[in-house]
Amino acid sequence: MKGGYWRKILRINLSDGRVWEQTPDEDLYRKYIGGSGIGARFLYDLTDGNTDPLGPENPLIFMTGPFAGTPVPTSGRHQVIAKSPLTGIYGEGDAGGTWGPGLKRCGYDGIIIEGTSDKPVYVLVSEGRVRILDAGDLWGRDTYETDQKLKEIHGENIVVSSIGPSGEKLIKLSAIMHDGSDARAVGRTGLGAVMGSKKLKAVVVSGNKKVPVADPEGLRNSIKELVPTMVQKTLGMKQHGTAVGTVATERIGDFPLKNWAGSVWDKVENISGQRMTETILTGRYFCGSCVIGCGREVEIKEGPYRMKGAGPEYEALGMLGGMCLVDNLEAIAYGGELCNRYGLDVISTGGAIAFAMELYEQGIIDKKDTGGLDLEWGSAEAMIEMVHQIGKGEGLGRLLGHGVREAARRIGGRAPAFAIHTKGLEFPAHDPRAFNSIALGYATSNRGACHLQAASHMFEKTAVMPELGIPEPKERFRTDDQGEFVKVCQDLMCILDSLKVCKFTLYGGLRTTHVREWLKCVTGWDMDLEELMAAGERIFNLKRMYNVKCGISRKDDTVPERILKQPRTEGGAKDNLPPLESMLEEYYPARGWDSDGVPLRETIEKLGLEWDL
Amino acid sequence: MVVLFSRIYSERLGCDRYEMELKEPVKLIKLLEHLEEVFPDLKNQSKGEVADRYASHYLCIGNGRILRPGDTITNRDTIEIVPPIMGG
Repeated sequence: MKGGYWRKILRINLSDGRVWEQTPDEDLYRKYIGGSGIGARFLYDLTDGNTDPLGPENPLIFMTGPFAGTPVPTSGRHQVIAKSPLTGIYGEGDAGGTWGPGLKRCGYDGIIIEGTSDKPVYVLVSEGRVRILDAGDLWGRDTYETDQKLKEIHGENIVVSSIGPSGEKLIKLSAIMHDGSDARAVGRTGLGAVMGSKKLKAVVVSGNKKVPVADPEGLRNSIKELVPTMVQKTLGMKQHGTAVGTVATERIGDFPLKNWAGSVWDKVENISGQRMTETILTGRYFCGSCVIGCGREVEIKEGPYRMKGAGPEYEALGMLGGMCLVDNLEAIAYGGELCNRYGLDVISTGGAIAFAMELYEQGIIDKKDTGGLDLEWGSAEAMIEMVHQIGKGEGLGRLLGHGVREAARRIGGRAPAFAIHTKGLEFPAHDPRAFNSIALGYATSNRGACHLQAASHMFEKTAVMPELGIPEPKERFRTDDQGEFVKVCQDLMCILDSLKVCKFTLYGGLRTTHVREWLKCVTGWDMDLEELMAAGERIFNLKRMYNVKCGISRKDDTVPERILKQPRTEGGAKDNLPPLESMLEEYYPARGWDSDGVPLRETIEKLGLEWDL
Repeated sequence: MVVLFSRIYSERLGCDRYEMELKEPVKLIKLLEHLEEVFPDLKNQSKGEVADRYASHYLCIGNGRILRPGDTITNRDTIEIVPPIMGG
């Protein structure tokens, strides 16, 4: 390959302080592309079903894609992969910002950190050196303070990936945060706790190497052609953030309400992206090489929710807002900031708080359990207090910090009926009753309930992909044609997660033709559509094979009974229930899996994964 | 037929509903061209064709459905203009 990668992965063992470089074959890059794909392959090779997610043998894998550090639009993302302490299966998350390109400019495609330090440390990759340094002064600090402190020591040109106090305490909802108060989160699956288990406070990068590009002029021309369209089509996100669609989402019955028991909400406009623009917005944030600019900068100057930093995204508004029926925008922004500072996944945290509010309403827990807190729907004060408790691992928050599945198991009785998750991962802010394909996507997602592992709903709203059989947006309540559709969406998302290109480009007119052209310009590879999609399918199946090693099968490919049996009673998704079983009947054959959800031998061989047979 | 404007638009346009008589069914795109003539602020300073703006600047919901530019609208319909749906 002529560019895009350094073919160097940094390996660090914190138990004995060893640092070395690994030089993978080009074949690995071409088969697994980068980011999620290469990370999944390493995780598969380094761990198994018995690996303790919080033990020294669980590697924490940071991986970039071929475009990081190049001008390819939205390529400033990176992936973190490990076995998840929240779900016990394949775990991953990704973030925008500038850390991925920062690592690439150090001359590495990724970092794999194994072992456990006996004292708090941070890793500094800078000026061609790798150092493991004492983090005693950083331990206990929140993520914004950590970023600031490290910049005081090493200068403003560094980029910081760090955990906050919740990750240090091994709270299973913990995120890994990046870029200080710009707060780009690797939020899902509790990987902040994996970092905490290694006593690793931060990974700091600073480099100035120019990432090689095979055909710089071709790349420039190709990008120039698409960018004006992309900017125009995604203007709403630049103006009002990812929350631009909050109102429309509520109208079609997709917005999460009252722990998934609500149907419509007349207060949704109080927390819309437009309301944020009119009230607390002070600026817009662009991740590395981004042309969309959906990030928010907000400031609240007075009152109990004073703050300045990253503003809430759609998911925060859904999970701390609609799920808890809190319509106070300032409180949600502040709750989001607390999650960022503690280093908590705002999606799982909001899901856990809404779960607790419903248990309180049902009388399953009471003030004895909440420490006297009135955990009522709509209480901004209660929501904020619970974020603090989860972040600190105190009070009821200590229990909720295990995630709703485990919290419900410990509480017992009727509690599990109110725990809304798949494979232990709390639902994000999209309702499978509003898009049947989302139910299948959540049920079969390799990291548990996730809207981005298939992102099929994008192709049922406004996005299209003619070359993959989606010439126009599909009808969202259809009951057939879902198996192959969701499979193709998942394979495509595996590609984007491995290239590390933002999925919002799909709203901006991205096609696989652009991806292939950019890949050719950057790496020199002339990959046809078949080879590209096969890479996505290979990556998805590899993760599934990993999960099968962890005991996952058809019994786990489901969504909670509330979603399958309790319809919304009003609004845009009224009376719809997703026909999950019949969709699974279509899906497994489309995947080439047996009826228990295990990849067939012929599927494994077709994808070149037979080394595990 | 009735067109409802969600709050962000009603505040900008100065009204929260608009009623008109459709003598025969029309495509949504035609209806939007008419609405942009009546309410130029709907364009939000954007240039170009309605079709380019639709779904990136605003969206229509009818009976809980995301409407497509080619959908047919009749005099019995009520639609709502809401901000575009993307992100998240």
